[in-house]
Amino acid sequence: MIVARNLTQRYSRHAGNDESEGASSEALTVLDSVDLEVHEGEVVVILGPSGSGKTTLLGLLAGLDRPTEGDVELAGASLSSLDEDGRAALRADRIGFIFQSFHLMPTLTALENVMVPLELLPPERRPKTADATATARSLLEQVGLSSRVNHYPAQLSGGEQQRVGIARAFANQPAVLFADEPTGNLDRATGDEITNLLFDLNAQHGTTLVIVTHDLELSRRAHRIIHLAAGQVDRIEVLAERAS
Amino acid sequence: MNARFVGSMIRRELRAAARRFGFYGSCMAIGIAVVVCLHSLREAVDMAVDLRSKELLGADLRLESRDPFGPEMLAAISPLEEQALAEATRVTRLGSMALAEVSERSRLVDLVAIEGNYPIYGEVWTEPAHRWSEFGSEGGRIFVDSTLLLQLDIAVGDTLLLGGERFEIAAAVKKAPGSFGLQAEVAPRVFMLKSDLDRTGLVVEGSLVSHLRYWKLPEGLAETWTEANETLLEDSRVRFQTVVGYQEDMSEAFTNLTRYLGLVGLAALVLGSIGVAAGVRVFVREKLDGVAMLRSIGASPRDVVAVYAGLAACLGLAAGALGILLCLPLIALLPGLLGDLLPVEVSIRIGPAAIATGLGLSLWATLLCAMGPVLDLARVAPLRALRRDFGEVDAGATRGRWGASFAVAASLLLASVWQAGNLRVGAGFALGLVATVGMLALAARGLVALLRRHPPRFLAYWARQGVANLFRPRNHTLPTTIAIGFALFVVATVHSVQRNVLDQMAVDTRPDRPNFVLFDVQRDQVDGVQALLARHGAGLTDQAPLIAARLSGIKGVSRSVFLADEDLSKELRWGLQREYRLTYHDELRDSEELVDGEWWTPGTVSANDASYPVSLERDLANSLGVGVGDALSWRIQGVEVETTVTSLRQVDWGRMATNFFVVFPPEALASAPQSTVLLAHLAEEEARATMQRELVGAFPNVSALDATLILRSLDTMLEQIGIAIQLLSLFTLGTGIAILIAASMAARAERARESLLLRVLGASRPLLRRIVAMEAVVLAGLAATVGAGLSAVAAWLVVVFVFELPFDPPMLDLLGLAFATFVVTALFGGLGGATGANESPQAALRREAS
Repeated sequence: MIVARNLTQRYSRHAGNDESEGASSEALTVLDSVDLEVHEGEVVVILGPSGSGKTTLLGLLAGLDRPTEGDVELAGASLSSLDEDGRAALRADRIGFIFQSFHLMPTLTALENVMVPLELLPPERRPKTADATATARSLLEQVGLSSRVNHYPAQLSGGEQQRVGIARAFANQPAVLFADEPTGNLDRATGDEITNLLFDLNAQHGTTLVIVTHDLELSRRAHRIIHLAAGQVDRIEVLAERAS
Repeated sequence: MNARFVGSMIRRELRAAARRFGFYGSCMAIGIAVVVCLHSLREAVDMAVDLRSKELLGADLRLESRDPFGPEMLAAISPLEEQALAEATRVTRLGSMALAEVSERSRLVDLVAIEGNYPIYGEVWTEPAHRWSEFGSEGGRIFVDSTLLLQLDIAVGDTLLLGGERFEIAAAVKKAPGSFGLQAEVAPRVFMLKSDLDRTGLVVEGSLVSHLRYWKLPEGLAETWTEANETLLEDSRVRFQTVVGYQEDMSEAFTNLTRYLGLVGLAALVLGSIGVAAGVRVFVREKLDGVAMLRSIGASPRDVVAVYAGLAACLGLAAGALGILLCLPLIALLPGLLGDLLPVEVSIRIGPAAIATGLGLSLWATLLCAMGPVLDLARVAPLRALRRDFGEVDAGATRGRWGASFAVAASLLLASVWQAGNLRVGAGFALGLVATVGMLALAARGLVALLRRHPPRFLAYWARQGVANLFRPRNHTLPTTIAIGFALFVVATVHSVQRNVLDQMAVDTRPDRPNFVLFDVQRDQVDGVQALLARHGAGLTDQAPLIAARLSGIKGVSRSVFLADEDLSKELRWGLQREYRLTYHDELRDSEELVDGEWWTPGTVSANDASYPVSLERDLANSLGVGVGDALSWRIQGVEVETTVTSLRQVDWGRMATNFFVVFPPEALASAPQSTVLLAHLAEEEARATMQRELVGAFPNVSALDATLILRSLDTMLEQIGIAIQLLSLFTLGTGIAILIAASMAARAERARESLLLRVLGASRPLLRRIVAMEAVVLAGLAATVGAGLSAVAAWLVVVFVFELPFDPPMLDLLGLAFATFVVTALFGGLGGATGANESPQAALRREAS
C-alpha cells in the first residue's frame, strides 16, 4: 500500500533570531535515506524519541510535503509524479487523518466537521448532501456522539473532540489512515478509549493504519513497530502477523 | 474546483463570521454610501435637466447680443423665422432700479421686456394663479418675481416706479423659464411689454442692454443653423444657446461640484478598503490551522482560495447593500443642504444603476483588499496540520501579490480619474493617496526598526513588554498605523482645505467694506451722484471709469485667426470672446500687487501714442499666453487701439473694490465713451433705502446694488457647500471610527493569546492592562503624528497648487484632531487589552485548545 524509497528530508534553518541581522542558514537533515513498506490492512506504528523524524516521515508518506530525495508510492501512485493538486486529490480520495491537536474547524458543528471529507471526495464518489449527512451522523453515532452532533468544538471535551476527529478520518472510507499522536493530548483513560475506538473502527473498515506515537500501550497493538532514531530506521519490530 | 464543498464552507464560515464581517463591512459601507448617494444625485439632476431643458431654456434656440442685431445677422436668421414652429420671441433685458412708492423702498431689478409669444416652452406660474394669460393684453401692467414683493414689502396691485413711469403689478411670478439659484435674490425679474420699456426711457446710449431672440424650431435645425453660422455669430458677437448645449452646460456646472464631493467620498472608500484589508488580514491569519487541516485531507489550493474569496465577495456585497441603505438618509438630506446649488428641482431615488455601482464597487474593492491575504492561503503547507511551526506563510513577493498590488493601483487610478473627471487631478489624487499610505508604512517600519535596534531597556517591565509588542512577530503595527493614520489624514486634509478655501472665498470682512455699488453713472452725473452720497453720510470708498472693449488681436495675430483653430484652448477662447470692462488709473490700488514688469510713470504717456502701455492681471495673461513686452490689439467703441503689456498684476478678487483684468493709463482712454462705477459704504439699512429712493428719482438710469443682499446670498451658498463637505467628512470620520474598532478587535484577538500565557505564568490583570495600554499609546502617537503631519503637507499642496490660494494651516484644529485620534485609538487599544485580561485563564485555555 505504501512504499518509501531512500526518503531524505533536509530543512534550511536560519541561524540567529532576526532576519535583518545578517542571518545565515544551515541544512538540517531530519530524515536520512529511509526505506519502508506498509502493506494493505497493516497497522504500523512509528516510534522514536522527540526529534527522531517521526512526524516528518508521516508527512512525507501522506504526501503533505515533498522529500528532498527519494520517493513515496501510495496506493499505486508515485507521489513525486503528482503536483500539489494531484496530491490533494489523492488525499481526498484515499487518505484519512487523525491529528494530535484534533484540528476541528471551530466554526463548524461536529456533524459538519465530519461531512467535510465527504464533500471533498472526487465527483464519482461524492454522496448527495442528504447521504453525506446520514453517513456523518452514523459515524458520530459509532464514536458515541449521537447527542452532540450539533455542538461546536468549543462545546466538547478533548476526548469528544478527538472522537469527532476519528469519525472525520473514516468518513471518506480511506485506504490509508495516518494518525499523528492521536492520544498525545488526552489523559490515560480517555486515551485508552480513543485507542480502542480507533482500532475497532479500523477492524470494521480494514483500513491500513500508520500511527506516530510515544504511547507504548498503543504501539503494542500494531502489527509492526518502526523505531526511528536520528532520522534513520533503527530497527523494525514485528509484533503480529496481519490477517491476509 | 469542488463547487459544493466551496459553497458549503462559505455558508458555514459566514455563520460564524457574520458579526466580525459586520464591523469590517461597515468600514466599506460608509464610503459606498457617499459614492452611491452622489451618483444618484448626479443621475437625478441629469435626468431632470434632460427632461426640463427646453422649458428651462424656454426655446430650442436662443440668441443673445449686447448690440441690436445688424443687417447681416438679420438676413441669416430670416430662414429661422420662416421655419419656426411658432412666433419667435424678442426680449430686451437690462438692469434698472425699481422704486415702490407704497413702502418707499427701491431695488435693482432685471427688466425683461417682451415682444411676441413668451414662454415658448414651459409655463409661467403666477400668484394669483393663471394670470399670465393676461400678459400683454394692456400696457402699464407688469409681472414681477415673487421675491421682489417680499424685498420691497409690496403686494399685487401696488405700483412700481421704473425710470419715471408707474406700472401696476398684475401678479407675482413664482416660476418662469430661464432662472434658478441666486439670480432672483440678486436681481429679481420684472416682466413687461417692450412698448412699456420704450416709454421709460431707460435704454440710452451706453446702457448695458441684452437683446435676445427665442425660437421654437423643428428638431435638429438649431444645431445645423448654429454650425453653419458659427463664424457670423462670432464676428457679430452674438452668443447662442441650443437645448443640447444648455443641457451640457447645466450638467457640467453641477458635475464640477459633485466631483469634489465625490473625491471626498472616494477617500472614504479607500479608507474603508484599508479597514477591510486590515480586518481580512487578521481573519485569514486565524484560519491558517484550519486551512492546513483542509489541505491535509484533500482540499486543493484552488478550493481554499475559492472558499475565502467567496467569503470576501459576500462581505463586499453585504457592505455594498449596507452602504445603499445608509445612503437613504443621506439622499433625503442632500437636496435640502445643497438647496440653490441645484440647477433644477430634483426628486432623487436610488436607481438600478446606482445600486449596481454601489454593489459592484464594494465587491471589487473588497476582493482587491482580500486578494493578497487570500492568495497567501493557497500557499499554506498541509504539513502545518502536523507541525504548527511549519510553513508560516511568507508574505514576501509572489506573482499573486504583485498582481494584487497592480490591480489595486490600477483600480485606484481608474476610480480617481473617473471621479475627478480629469486625468491630471485624478492621477494626482491617486498618487497622493498611495504616497500617504507609503509614508505611513515607512513611518511604521522605521519605528519598528528603531525599537528593535534600540529597545528601551531602561523602562519598567510592562513598558518594555508593551513596546516590544510593536516589533514582535505577528505584530499589527503596520496595518494599525496605516488605518488610523490614513483616517486622520483624510479627515484633517478635507478640513484644512475646506477651511482655507472657504476663508479665502469669504468676501472682504472689513467693517467699513463697501456695501453699495452704483453703476452706469454717466460722466456728467458723477459729481451729482457723489454729492448725493455725501448728503446721506455715505463714504465713497472707490470709483472707476468703465469702458467696454473686446480683444481684436494678440502679438499681431488677428482674433479671427485664433478662433478659426478648432484646437484652441478653452482659456484662450474665453479670453478672446469675452467682453472686457477696461479702466484707467495712474497708481496701483490696495487690492493690486505688481508681480512682473514696471508700472508706467504718470505723465509719460500721450493720447497720440501709437501704442499704449497696459497692465494685465496675471491669470488673464497666462490664459492669453502673453507676457511683458507682448502686443495686444483692442476694439474700443469701434476704434482699434494698439497696446503693449508693460506689467502684470496679482489682484485680490476677494476684496470689495473695483478690480479689473486690464488697466490703461488715463491718457489713453480718458476721452473714450465711458460710464463710472462707484463703491460706497453706508451702514444703516434705512439710510441706504432712503438714499436709493432719492437716487432713483434724481438719476433714473443709474443702477444701485445693495451688496449686503449679494453678500448674504453668497454666505448662504458658501454655507451650503461647507455643510455638504462637512457632512461627507463626517462620514469619513465614521469610517475612521469603524476602522478603529475593527483594528482594535484584531489587536485584541492577537494579544489575548499572549495575555493568556502571561496570566497563566502569574501576571496580574493590571500588569497586562499596562502592557497593552503601552503598546496602544505608542501606536496611537505614531499614527496621529504622522497622519496629522501628512495632512498638513497634502492640504498645502492642494490649496497652493490646485486652488492657487495662499495656505494658512489651521494648527489648532489639526492638533485637536490629532489629539482626539490619539486618545480614541489609545482608549480602544487599551480596552482591547483589558478584555483579554478579564477572561479567566481556565476559560481562555479551553477556548485556545479548541
